[in-house]
This record gives sequence, structure tokens and C-alpha cells, in this order.
Amino acid sequence: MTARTSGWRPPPIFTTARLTYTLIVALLTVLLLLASLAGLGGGWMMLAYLSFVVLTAWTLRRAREEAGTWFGLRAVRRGLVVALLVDCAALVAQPAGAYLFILALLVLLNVALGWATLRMASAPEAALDERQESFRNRSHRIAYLSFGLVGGAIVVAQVAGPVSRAWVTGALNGGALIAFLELLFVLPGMVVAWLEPDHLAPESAVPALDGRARLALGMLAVAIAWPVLLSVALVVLPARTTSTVRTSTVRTLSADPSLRCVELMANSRIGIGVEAQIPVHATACGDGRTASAGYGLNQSDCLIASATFATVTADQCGRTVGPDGTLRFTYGAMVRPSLLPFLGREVTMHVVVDRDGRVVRFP
Amino acid sequence: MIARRAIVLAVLLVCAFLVSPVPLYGFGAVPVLVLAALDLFLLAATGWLGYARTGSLDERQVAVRDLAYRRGFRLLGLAIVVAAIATVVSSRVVGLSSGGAGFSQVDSGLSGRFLVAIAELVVMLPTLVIAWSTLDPGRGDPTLLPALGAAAVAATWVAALAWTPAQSAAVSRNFAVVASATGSSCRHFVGGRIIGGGLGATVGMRAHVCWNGESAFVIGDPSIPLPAGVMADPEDRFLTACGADNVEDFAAVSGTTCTAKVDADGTLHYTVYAHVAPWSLPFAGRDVTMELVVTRDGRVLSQP
Repeated sequence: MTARTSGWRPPPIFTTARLTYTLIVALLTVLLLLASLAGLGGGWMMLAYLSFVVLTAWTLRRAREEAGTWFGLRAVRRGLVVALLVDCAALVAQPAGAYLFILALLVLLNVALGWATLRMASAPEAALDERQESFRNRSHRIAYLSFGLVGGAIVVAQVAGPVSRAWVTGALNGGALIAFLELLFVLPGMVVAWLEPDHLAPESAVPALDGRARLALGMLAVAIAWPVLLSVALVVLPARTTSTVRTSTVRTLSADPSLRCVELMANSRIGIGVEAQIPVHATACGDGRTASAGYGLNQSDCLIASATFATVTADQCGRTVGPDGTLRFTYGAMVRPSLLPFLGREVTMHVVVDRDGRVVRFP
Repeated sequence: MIARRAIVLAVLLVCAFLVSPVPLYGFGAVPVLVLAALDLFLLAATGWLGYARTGSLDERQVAVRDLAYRRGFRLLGLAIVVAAIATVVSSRVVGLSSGGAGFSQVDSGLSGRFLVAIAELVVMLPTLVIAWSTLDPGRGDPTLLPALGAAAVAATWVAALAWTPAQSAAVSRNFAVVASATGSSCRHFVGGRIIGGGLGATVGMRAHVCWNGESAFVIGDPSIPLPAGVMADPEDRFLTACGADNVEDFAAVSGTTCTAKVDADGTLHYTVYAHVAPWSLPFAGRDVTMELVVTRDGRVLSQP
């Protein structure tokens, strides 16, 4: 007996979902290759994270039936809705450097929302019974009226005055547009998730989550926690500082035989993925009477820093020469993760060269 | 039902007209009043079912109303995306057709006509769906309400145009101007006044001012002569243009004049004057005057 009974058709190989995932994976592969060619530092971590998000979304989609029982709890679904609204608010606020993280998180939360509501908000009518259809329509009415309030707020801000108008224009050119579209297309699903009561427990024992569902939930937890952990790591992990000191070639160009010059190079790297690099590259000389600065020890050199999903603000920058002829240069910077800007750590680089051109302290 | 469907189509056509690049020349109040009348007719014809409280409806009416909201939400998403694309494309078309000088240098925020069209859809889409798809909403008949409602909208609008304070307009961030005159330093000035909170008109000002220690002067406008011995672009509407940044969708801007006077100290007084009035209601109009004052050494004493 063959499985190909009357009316049976083999499942299609090229489905919309498969094509979409293939395109996303191809795009990420190209980005990873480009990043490797360009020597992207913290960008690697972001690309890896985006790849993980796509993989998590794919795993969640495949496992939704099994894990639906866990999301059947109203409290969990409401937590998901709150997380979505917070994410939308973060998009509007748009903290510097955290945009991609917030966007990736939004994608994940949307997938989880669809999973939690079994996509009732957009399901075909034939897939719902009469109660579900009525509930879905009611949710849409509530969502429509809520969205009307958002639209009304935008109109009021547009009409009220120049400051609010400028805010609307600026916000809609940034993440607020994504948040607006999110509400426009997902708000009914959020209302469904918020209003739907706890799913009734089946009379028979609920089967335990299978391996795929556990994996999906674990990946979702990691994807949400990862950016937070990396942000905290920026503040907690010790700085990795490398430095070299060598005799500068400036000496060979000078006519003064007592002049001793040094070239100082240091790089302080903080965090992994969410990271900042504070470099110092300078020269200093001493002639036995006083030390003097070459390049790299000026105010403008305190502006040189790079960061990935973090901000670096120079809060100390000064150069002094003491009465004993010792040169002191201090470059202090506050490093904050973009995602958790209320955290931060101070990183200070010191250059101390005595009047004989000897390095007393570095960095 | 045919009449209701015709009115629904008329509403959608008027909304499409509002987001199109067709200039309104201050007559924007006309489509708005038409919309108000059509809306009120539809609301009355559907017995305000879209906004009825659940307790006042039977089970069938609740089902019809909620289904209309679901369909309306989907259509609203589609309409906003289409309207946004149409607005961007139309503004590009208008700007490019005038060689770049047509791009407004004044930022008036979201276009008033776009806002009106979207607000109309947000408010009315469920009612439009009910009017289009329901054989018998089962509530009420058309009344005289449309005429009264349209009159109320018109009166409110005229009052807003006449009495709401003028607001200053921001400078657009989508352009950059670099131009100079021999032996002079120059700076580009852009400003404007918004009447009616974006749902009226905007009077704009753009002027490229240079100064050379002896006097300040405007370049780019052929009607304003340059000082002797100064070489600069005599005509460039991108630099200086009178009325080029006016927006007159919902109120007419008439009599725009731009004058430049240099006093004995070499200080430039560049003045823009215009009259803003709702269509065919001159008594509700108001005058708008903006003055830019720049000294011969480039100090700005006054600007809009």
C-alpha cells in the first residue's frame, strides 16, 4: 500500500517562509563576509547576534504548537505585550548605538507574540470558530480605538507648536516610524494577547515540552538576555590594556644630543561585543631640564575613541608640566553601554614622562 | 445601498485628491467641507453604528460593528502606507519639476493635507466599511445633520485661522547652500510663520545675505541690486526667492512682497509681507510680516 492515496499531494519545496529565510540567511552571510573583509571589530558580535535572532525566530516558528501551552498563561502574554510596548518606547527614544539591538529584539518579540496568540489576529476566517472570530473582531475594535489615540496625539503634537512639531518630524525620521508601523500592524495581536484568558488545561496530562520547544524557549531567553549581559559585562569585566614604549625617531632628527624622546602607544579595550576602545598614541621628549609633548597629548586627542553599542565621553583631559620638569597627561573617559545608559565606568589613561625623557607611568 | 457605496467612493476619491500633488491654492477647505458633509451623511445613514455603545446594540449589530473595525484596521494600514508613498513621491515630483528650487527650505512638519486625509480615514474607515458592506445597518435615516456639521467645521476652521497665534517654522534639514560674493562673508537665512497650526498656510522666507564691512546685502534676487563692485550670482532662486516657501493649502497667501533696504549704517533690513486669508473670507484674514536685520559686519539683529 502506498502513502500516495487519492487527494494527497507532496508538500511544496518552495514555500514563502523557506524563501524568506533563505534570503535572510544569504543576506547575513554576505554581511558576515563583508565584515570579515573590512575587519569590523564589535560589528562581528552584532552580525552574530542578528544571525542568532533569525535562527531563534525560525526555531520558534517550528515549535509553536508544543510551546503554546506555556504562552497560554495570560500573565506571560501580558508580560510579552508590556515588553513590546517598552521596546517601541525605546525605539522612539532611540538611545545612541542601540538601534539594531532594539530592532532585533522587536522582531523576536513579534515572533513570540504570534506564537503566544497562535496568530489569531491574522488567521484566515476558516481557521477560527465563532467565539474566536467574535473575540478577534472585538480586539480589533479596541486596537483601532487605541491606535486612534496614538494618531490623535501625533496630530495634536503637529498642530500645537514648533517644538512639538519638530519633535514629530525628527522622531518619524527615526525609530518612531518603526514603532508607528509596529502599532499599525501588530496592535490587534497585542490586544488579543492581553485580553485572552488563560487557556483551559486539557483533561489529560499536558505532555512535557519536547526538545525543539525547549531549545526554542532557551534560545529566546538567550536572545533577550544577551544584549543585557554584554552591556553589564562592559562595566564589570576588567579592561584589557596593551601598551608599548619605544625610543622615538624624533631623537635622531634632533641636533640636541641630550634630547631623549619616547613613542608611547596604548590601547585600552573594555567589554566584548558591546565594547569601547580608548587609544593613546603620543610622543614626549626630555632634555634633562624639562619634558615636552610631541604629538598625541593635546585636547583633540581626547576625542579619539571608538565604541560599538556604547558611548564614550571624555570627562578628563589635561596636560601639565611640574616644577621638576615632569610632563603629566591624563585622558579620562566615561564609557556607558547604549542599551543601559544608567550604567557606566571610568577609564583613565595616564602618561607621565620625567625631564630626562624616562617614562614614569603609562598608561 | 448604492447611494451609500457612491458616497464611500466619493470620500475615498477626496482623500486621494488630498494626498496627490495637485496644488490647492488655498481652496483646501473645500474638500474638507465636502468630506465633513459626506461623513455626516454616512454616519447618519449607518445610524452612527461605528461609534455606538455596545449596550445600545443587539448581537447582530455588535458583530457587524466589530467586523467593520477589523476590516477597517487592515484597510487603514494599507491606506497609510499608500498615502505616505504618494506624498513622498509627489513632493519629489514637484521639487524636481522646478529644478530643485521648488523644494521648500522651510520645514512645516507633516503636510496638513496628508494629516487631514489620514485623520479622515482613521475616523471614518469603520463607518465606510459598514456603509459599503452592510445591507441594512438598521439604525436611523439620513437627517439634516450633514449641513449643520459642515457649517460647524467651517466656523471652527475660520476661527482657528483668524485667532490662533502664528507659529515659527523650522528650517528644513534636507538642503545645504554654499554661495559667496567677492570680498564678502555670507550666510543663508530661512524662516517662516505658520498660520492655523499647519492646517492653514505658511509664509516662508529665504534669503542669502552677505556683508563686507561696508554694508550687508542680499544676493540671488535680480530685483534687489548688488552694491557697486560686488560680483555674485545675480539670479538664483535657491539662494533668495520671494514666496517660494509659501504653503497655501488651506488658506490663500496673497500679496507676498519682499523688500531689501540698506540704511546709512550699511545695515540690511529684509522684509517679507503677506496676507493670509481663508478662501473667499477676507474678513478673517491676517497680515504676516517678517523682518531680517543684518549689520554690515554680519551681526544678526533680528530674524524670523
